[in-house]
This record gives sequence, structure tokens and C-alpha cells, in this order.
Amino acid sequence: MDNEEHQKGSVTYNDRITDLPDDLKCNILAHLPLKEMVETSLLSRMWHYTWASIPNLVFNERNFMSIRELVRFVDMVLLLHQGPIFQFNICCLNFTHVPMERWMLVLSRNEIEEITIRSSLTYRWRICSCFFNIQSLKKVYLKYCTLILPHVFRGLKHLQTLHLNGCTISDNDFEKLVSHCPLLENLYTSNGKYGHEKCMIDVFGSLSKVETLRLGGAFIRYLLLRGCNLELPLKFEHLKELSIELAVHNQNEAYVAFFLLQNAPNVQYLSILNRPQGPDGLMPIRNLQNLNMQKIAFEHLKFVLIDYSGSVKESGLLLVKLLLSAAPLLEKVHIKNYEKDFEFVKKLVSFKRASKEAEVILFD
Amino acid sequence: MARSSTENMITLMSSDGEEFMVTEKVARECTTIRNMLEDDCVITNIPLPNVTSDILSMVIEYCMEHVAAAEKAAAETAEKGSSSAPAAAKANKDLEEWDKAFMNVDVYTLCDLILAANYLNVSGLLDLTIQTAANLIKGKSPEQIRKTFHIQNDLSLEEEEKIRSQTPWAFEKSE
Repeated sequence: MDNEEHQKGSVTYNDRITDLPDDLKCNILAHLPLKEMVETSLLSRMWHYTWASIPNLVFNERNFMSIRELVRFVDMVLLLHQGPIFQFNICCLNFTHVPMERWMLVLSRNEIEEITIRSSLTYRWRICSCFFNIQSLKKVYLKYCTLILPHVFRGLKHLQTLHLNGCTISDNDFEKLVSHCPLLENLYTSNGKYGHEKCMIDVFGSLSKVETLRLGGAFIRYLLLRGCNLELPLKFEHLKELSIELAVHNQNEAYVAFFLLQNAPNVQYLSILNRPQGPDGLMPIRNLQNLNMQKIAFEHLKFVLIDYSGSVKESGLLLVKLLLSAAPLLEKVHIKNYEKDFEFVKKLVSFKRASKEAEVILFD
Repeated sequence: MARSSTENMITLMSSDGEEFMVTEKVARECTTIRNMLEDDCVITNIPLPNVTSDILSMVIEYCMEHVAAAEKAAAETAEKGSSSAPAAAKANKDLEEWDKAFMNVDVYTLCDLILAANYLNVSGLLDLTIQTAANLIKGKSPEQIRKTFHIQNDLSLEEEEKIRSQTPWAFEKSE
């Protein structure tokens, strides 16, 4: 080990990491927290701006002393950047003094594939119009943003994944957005504010190619209150994976979930996440118990995950009962955070099962 | 399981002229070689002028271990009709341990492995080596990083000061 202590002059010879090609060095740096990544600019002259070319740019306001610092830094990175940018991820409470427009323009010239923008409830950021022109986009994650489509919107031809978390968008724009993304496979919406003009069926009509659908939070309630008249003419033929967040104890919401499932005959994976804070005071308009059991069959359903986080009243069990009785190919039902009492388990065991293979697994 | 004797063998030649006989399956773990084989299926001798024999033997060791692990998992699945989750989890953990032990190398070898994994396009090995290098940097001061990787500091004090003032937030001491 002693001979590892080299004379200063000969050290350069052994410095293999500096000699790695820049893209490999950036790969290494991309695994570091932002602060440590920038600190590597002090290693030597060769390292000064190496970090600026990492392909995944992630900025969080928290890391900076002020918005001004953040803006200066992002400007610097975009100016110095060499090579492709795959991902741009920014989290900032208030975008008022952040030049997002020019950044989006730069990103659109860099064939950016993935953009994540997280704003805050108080300062919802209105997505600038040039965002909707970034044709290279494949994945978009937006939190607490307001989306207003430009008058001329030609669609996002390569978009595959769209997550809207707590975003505001009018029905018309939502429909237009979704229907102009021909490759969209994965849609997630939750806790959003949606307009009130139009029926959601039009929106769902444009989702017929979707393979994965994740509906969060208030979306189910919105469906229930608005367009979902439960006579949907179309089917989600391609849908394989459906994930729904709903208040299990609310029979109306459970009904909507079943309704969606009925119109998605090829779903294999279903996950249901309970939303314990959901309302239950509403009059049950449609009661699960009144469903015509003969008519329901979930032909391809194989795996189900139900997360009862929060307390679940007995009505929650009805869901399992229906699933077990109507899915002939069911293999596994995982139940998480269930009521740990004997009555619950006793009832669960007594349910009839349409599939011989069906296995119910309780876990914490 | 006896390996069928008809399985194609490929000879890989390192930059210093050493020859390594490997099964085609192992060679195919390197996407670069797989592409060569698919372009020209009669090829049996592949010179690799960018990889030394020390490093090439390590890359082959890695590929053989991962091919063996995948074969074992496939055989178990075939035997029992379905894979058992605990057994698969254990096999994964074993392989992870093996990877970890495999990464117990000096920084020169590590950098050479990164280059070789990149050139031969062995994605698992590239991820592993890159992550290992990142772990060696994580949580260290610039001075400590320089020492670990034998990087010579050629920045003058003024230059260093200038860099610090460009991004003052990055050099703030936390807490």
C-alpha cells in the first residue's frame, strides 16, 4: 500500500477518472445530490464544468438560497450544457420570477423527453404556451399547474405518459389535450379542478388506446357528479392495468369503479387505494348491492391489490365480495391495511369465489 | 445440467493478444458482441483492441456469473412450474452480494471496467461500476475525492475562489 503514495508529479498519470469520456463522468455525477455534483467543479480545471452536461437535470428550490440563485444556476446549466437533455425536473413554489418560457424553448431545441414541473397550491403556475409545442416529449408530470391550451394546438405526438396532480384544466382543454396525444398509454389524474361544461365520456372516448389508467383522488368524485351516466358506449379494449383511488366506504364511488372495470374487459391488474378522508355523507345514489350480479364478469382479471389504509367500514368488504364472485381467472387478491378483527376475516373467508385459483393474501 | 457440446464457442482477443474462449451465450451478454454476431453469424474470433486481458477476464467473469444465475432461475421455474417468490428473492440477494464482492477493486481497475463495460455495452456491469464510482465520491470533500482518485488539483486559489462565488449555495456548509 505504501507505494500508492505517489510523488505529486506522477499523480496525473494515474488519474483515470478524469480521462473517462465526459458522458461517462456525467453518468457518475448524475448519481450525486445536486450540491455534491456542483462541488466537483473544485476538483481540477478539467472538472470545472463537467457536471453541467448531465442528461437529467433536477432542480429544487429548496437547494438554493433564493429564487435568483435558482434562476442564475439553471440559466448557467442550460448555457453550458453539452449533449442531450433527457429529463428536466423543477420544483418551485412560485414561478412568477422564473423565466420558464425561455427554458422551455431551450429544452424544445434539445429534444427533451421528460419534463416534471411542480408548483404549489397557492401559486399554481400557468404552463407557458411554448410547452405545448415540445414535440419530443414522452413523459410529463405536472403538479399544481394550470393548463390552458394555445389556440393552435397540434398535439404532442410522442407523449406516452401524462400525470396531472392537482392541476386545473377545463374539460374542453382536457379533452383536446388527451385526444391529440395518439401514443398516450399512461394517464394519471388526481385532486384536480376540472371544468363543469362537458361530459367526461368525450374525454374517455379519446382514451381508447390507453393501456394503463391511474385515476387518483377527486377524479372519481368528479366522474360521479358529472358525466358518468353509467351507459358508456365505448370500451377500453387496450386497458390492462387500472388503478383507482377512491373512498371505499362510499358506495357511489365504488360503483363508479366497478362501472369502469366493466367497460375494460381486458384488465388484468387492478389496484384500489382507499381514500379515508373521502366523503360518506352523500345519499347512496347507486347501491352496490343492487347491481345485477349475473351481468358482471371480469373475464381477464388476475391480480388485485386493495389498500384499505385508514379505517374501513363494512361496506369496504363488499368490493372484495364482488370481485371474488365475478372474476373467473383471478389468481391473487392482496389486501393491505385491513381491519384486524375476527369478524372481518370471518366474512372474508365466507365469500364465494368464481376462480378455483383465487388466493387471498392479507398483509400489513 | 450438462451443457450441450454443440454450443458455439467464441474466441475473444484482448488488446495484449490473450485469447479467451467463451460460450456464445456468455459473449452475447455484451451487446456490442451480440450485434456483431447478429450481423455476421459465422464469426468466431473477435479482437477487442480496447480491452486489456486483465479487464477482459473480469468482464467475462461477470457475464458468466450473471448468465449462470439467469439459467438457474429459469431451470427452477421450469421444474416447479412457477417461480417461488422467496427463492427468487434469495437468488437476487446472492447475486447482489456477488456483485458487491466483485466491486472490491482499486480505482484504476474500476475506471477501466467502466470503460470496458461501456465499450462492450454490458448494461448491468456499467450500472454497477458507475454506481460504485458515485459511492466513492458521495459525502466526500473535494480534497478527499482528489485523494481517492489521484486527481491533481491544478486550480489556483483565485480560480477556486471564482468557482465558489459562481455558485455560493453549493459550497455553503450545511447545518
